[in-house]
Amino acid sequence: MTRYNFAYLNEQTKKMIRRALLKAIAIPGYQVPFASREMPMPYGWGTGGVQVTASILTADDVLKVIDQGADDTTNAVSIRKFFKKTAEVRTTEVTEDASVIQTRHRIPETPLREDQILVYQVPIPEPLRFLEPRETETRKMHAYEDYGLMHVKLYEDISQHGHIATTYAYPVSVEGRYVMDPSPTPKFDNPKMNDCPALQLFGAGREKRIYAVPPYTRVVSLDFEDHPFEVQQWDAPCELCGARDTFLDEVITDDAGGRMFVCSDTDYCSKRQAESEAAE
Amino acid sequence: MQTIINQTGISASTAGFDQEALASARNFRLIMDAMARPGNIVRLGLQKQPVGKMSAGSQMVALTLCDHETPVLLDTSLGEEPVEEFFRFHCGSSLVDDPSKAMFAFLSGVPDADMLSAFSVGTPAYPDRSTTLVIEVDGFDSQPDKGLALSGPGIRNVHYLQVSGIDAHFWKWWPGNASRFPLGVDAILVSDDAIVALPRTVKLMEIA
Amino acid sequence: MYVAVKGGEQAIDNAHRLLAEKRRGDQQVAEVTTEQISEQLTLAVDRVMTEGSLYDRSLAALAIKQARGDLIEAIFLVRASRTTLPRFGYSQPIDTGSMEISRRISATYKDLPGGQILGPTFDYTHRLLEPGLEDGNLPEPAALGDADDQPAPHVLGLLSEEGLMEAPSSGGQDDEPDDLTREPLSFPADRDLRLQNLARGDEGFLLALGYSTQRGFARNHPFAGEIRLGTVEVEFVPEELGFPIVLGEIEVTECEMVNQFKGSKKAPPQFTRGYGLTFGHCERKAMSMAQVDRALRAKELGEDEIAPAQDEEFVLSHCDNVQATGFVEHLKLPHYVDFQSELELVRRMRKEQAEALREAAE
Repeated sequence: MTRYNFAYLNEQTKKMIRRALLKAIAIPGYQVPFASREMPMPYGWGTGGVQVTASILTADDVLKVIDQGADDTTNAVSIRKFFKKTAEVRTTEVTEDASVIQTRHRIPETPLREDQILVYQVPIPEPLRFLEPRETETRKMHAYEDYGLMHVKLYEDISQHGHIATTYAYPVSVEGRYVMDPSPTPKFDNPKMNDCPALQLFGAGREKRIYAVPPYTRVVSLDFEDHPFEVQQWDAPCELCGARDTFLDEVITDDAGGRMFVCSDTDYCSKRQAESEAAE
Repeated sequence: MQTIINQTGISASTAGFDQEALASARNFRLIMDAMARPGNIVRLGLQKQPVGKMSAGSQMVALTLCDHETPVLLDTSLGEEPVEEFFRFHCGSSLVDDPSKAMFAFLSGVPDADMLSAFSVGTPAYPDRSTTLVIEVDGFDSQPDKGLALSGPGIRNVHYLQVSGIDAHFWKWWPGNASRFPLGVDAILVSDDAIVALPRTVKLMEIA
Repeated sequence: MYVAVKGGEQAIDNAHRLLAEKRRGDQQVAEVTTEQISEQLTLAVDRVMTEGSLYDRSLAALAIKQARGDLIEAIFLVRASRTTLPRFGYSQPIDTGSMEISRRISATYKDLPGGQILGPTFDYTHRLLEPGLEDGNLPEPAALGDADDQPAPHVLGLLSEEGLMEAPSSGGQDDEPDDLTREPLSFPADRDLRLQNLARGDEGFLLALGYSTQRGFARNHPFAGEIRLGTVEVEFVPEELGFPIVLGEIEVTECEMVNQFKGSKKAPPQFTRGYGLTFGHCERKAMSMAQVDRALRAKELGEDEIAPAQDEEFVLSHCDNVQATGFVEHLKLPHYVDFQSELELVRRMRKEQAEALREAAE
């Protein structure tokens, strides 16, 4: 059986993706088209993130993969195994120990550093897609910075529901120019994208787009003066670690309506639990 | 002084992979880091003889990013036999004379204003379809409160940079390039094995 | 005490083992070989090669076996394998005019140079299950006609001579065909890119769209001008040689549809073309492809764009079954973080509404 090239992709493909990455960094928030390849996992399961990670990975990297904030969700396990096998890189579940973190739907609770890169898996990169399904139209809107439709939609939410009814994939404005989809992370995570020391890269394989937010870049969630952006809040702390400032998952504990709330970031939660145990 | 030095060690467990693939991965990470942190002096840390007037750094940039899908322009001083041969043989790139057709331009110095404005800046719908300039200079430094004060995405507050051996009119031309954002060209300055990237987002202030 | 579920890794490994067991089925039954698949499930292999975009019978057969007969899964396997292959260049255009024909029919002429050749077709079989096939049987040998040296020119070429048929058109600005596996699709797409996209597209999706044009959604009177099946040579010009060499032969199905066209300000009334081409014997796909190709030429021919089959962005963005199956099936992945966000919002909105109602009542 043939041995695969380092990180699976052939060098020609990596060069093409690497060029797209540099353009993406030079034009923050702009979606760079790239000739996405068929990967050995299905489209919609992180092929964009996997192609970006494969193109930036070096032999010295330590990789962490999360899905819904957790390292042990099946798709995260599968992607981590893929890179263990094809790039033989070291992997970790500890956010602080990772140099590259690939994620689906969350940003870790532990603040990121300059020497870390966050790679997002993106299903629909176009923030305007659900307002205008045609690529030919949305491309024009970005070109002419015509984001009126987005503001109208958000304002309609307010007049109808009293607040903006978007809870995840909440649109952001990057460095005051491009409106960008932050991937389906909960809006809770949006503030972490702003002025972040780490480089943030976004890969959408099926839709064939790559985009980026360089370190220390202004990322602002769209809102209105009379309806400022706000994040989700929970009435109770995490039942496992007691954190009050994290995104909590609801876990159904029985069939009689019993439920509890625990951190979605499993690494952060277990670290806090270990700390409090050590303190006792 | 913020200088990032390449780690040359290749971990033993990955020794079975193609060395070229590992080397280009390492080089790309450094180039990407330079682009993400404009003004940072990034050393590719590789000993390589110049080819014609093309420094080791420029060679590594070319080998990492150029192939048969990237038309390359060489200025008259770089466009000599060994350099042309390097691009044809090692990269498979086609060489073009028309600046607007070049995806990359490898330049021995800053071209005149006419040529600078002839490179592709992309279109409003596709601002990524622009030329990246790779320009040879004499050297870099990053003393505080001297030379150029850089700001913009990728830079926390302000980053100071001094570049020697670059025509001053480049700095006069740059604000016009940056003001067209999202259109514009991106530049990588190279001295020996060190590079400094200037994406189109960089704002410059000259300090006396 | 609640403990978060761990062990995703082990669950995956076990699932893979179970899948392998299910694939093998009852181990008392002889295992199917890829050779058997390649020889006896030929049309499945042809479809996997066509939509997988790779002409390799044995790889396609292996993919079908590995995918337990799920053809979209098999197509996906072939596509993923294609990603790892080095690319040497592009072949010369194949010449279907000089095809070694095993089937050739035209619905527009009773007889024509080269003749009608029925070939291996289901067309006039009565769809009655054959119990004898269960135990296997040796087919009676078919009577073969003498090889006819008479050339079989393209039917649409015969129409062109009279000026009744438009000249073939790339519909684009340049002659060099684009390649959507190297450059992502952008709109509007020229005909070369549309045809590449359709050739890789899902048979079922194209069949439904082609069908819709016959039922009045972009009606344009199709006639099966010609369908031909046979082998053609593939030639390649290596840089170092500078002249074409034959790499081998492939089997292809070609369909040219003839469609009425009322004419426009620029063009007189004439017939127009729709084109379909597949690897192997994929006749239904080739015909549907030709219908959809013709429907997508609405803009070029100045026709009203009113139906789904004429909508370039809609058709081209959704006809790839590897993309489609991935994104539909990704809904199986956990989405509990997003769902949690929605739960919180709905609860809050219900609370606000209840409070507003109570206030109004007071």
